Amino acid sequence: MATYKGIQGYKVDFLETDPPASTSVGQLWYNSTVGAFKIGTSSDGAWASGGAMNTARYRGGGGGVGILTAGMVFGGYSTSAGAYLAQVEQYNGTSWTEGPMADYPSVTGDVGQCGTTTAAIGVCGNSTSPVNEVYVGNGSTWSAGENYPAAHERIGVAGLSTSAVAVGGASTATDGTWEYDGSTWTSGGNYTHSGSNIGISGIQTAAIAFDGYDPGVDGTEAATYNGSTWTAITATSTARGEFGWSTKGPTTDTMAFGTGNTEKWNGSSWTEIANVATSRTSGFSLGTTSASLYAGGNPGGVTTTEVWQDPVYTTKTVTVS
Amino acid sequence: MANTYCTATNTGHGFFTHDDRNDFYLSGHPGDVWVVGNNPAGVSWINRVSGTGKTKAEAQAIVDGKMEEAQVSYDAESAEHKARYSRPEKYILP
Repeated sequence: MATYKGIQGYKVDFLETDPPASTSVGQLWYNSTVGAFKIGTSSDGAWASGGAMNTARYRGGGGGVGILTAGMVFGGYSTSAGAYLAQVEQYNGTSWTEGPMADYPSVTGDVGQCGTTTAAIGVCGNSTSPVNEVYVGNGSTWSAGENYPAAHERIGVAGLSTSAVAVGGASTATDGTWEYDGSTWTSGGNYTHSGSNIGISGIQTAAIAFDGYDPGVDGTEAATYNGSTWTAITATSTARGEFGWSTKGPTTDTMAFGTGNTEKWNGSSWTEIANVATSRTSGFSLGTTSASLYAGGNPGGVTTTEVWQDPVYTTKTVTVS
Repeated sequence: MANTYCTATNTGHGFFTHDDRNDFYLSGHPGDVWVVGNNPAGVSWINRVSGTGKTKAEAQAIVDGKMEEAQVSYDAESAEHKARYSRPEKYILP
């Protein structure tokens, strides 16, 4: 009779506890505590439920700050409160908390937001009308940055608080691109068309943007930015107006989600992948194509959070007879 | 039957997992209605989250009611809101 050692060349490990699923793909071991053989597997990316936000909100502008395990969003609108919001919420990979970051200085929705939880930037927004305010957060408090060159809402912003790139905006749609160095806004190359709610990820010198209002209709156009010029690339298959996206990563690796089909860009084509369980527009999003989240959304503001992981690592019990 | 139906309150982290999403179809709808793939993993999930089983007609009626409420709320919204967001419309559950 063939043995495992005879086939593989080594014995099955006896372990009291399972190793981390992410480091045991393809491995077989015997868990002596539960008396069962286990294997590590990986599968395609999927969305899971995340911790609920403390304040239901929408008009997130699509963006967010940081990464899945250290994320932050601010502003938005609550239908139940009938008001724009200043509350800041931070996500640790499992749950949302208000603070330690102070409330956003302006009661505002549709704020362009990017950076990290300790070096965040909020750009423009709507406090009953578009504003040009810019605020920079250091992890505990906010300070005023250089005002944006025009009053807008629903601007797409990517990068860091000291090297950000902003594109588009409403309520009068624009194709303007502006770059921020931590103290001054400088005009960049115009986007391929005027629009708002444009998804954008990457850094100031290597960004990718896609979808958003065109205006008035949901768009599919996409383009990459090299720090001075936008170049059109293959359009997405699903038109999206207000949606979520992976905010961090290179121009060859991004994804759009939240409403319609989820699509992932690999540098040459868009591929449809797993969708969120509850489709909604106008939420907040942050993270990478490996780990990201989509929170809140329309109608009326919800607390729902969904968390993306790709690949999905799983430890499975082997059934033997 | 490809799908089964239930109501369950989304309790946040762990309510449904990445593995769940790879093991069975799942979609959430207004009124805490969930459409669940009708396989052993899906049925097990309904039990795990203490879901209340519904027929498709019952689930559809809940969603329709919530959509009607959303339509009333939408009709009371500002012109700016209406210009930006479309009126919620009823739809057929999968």
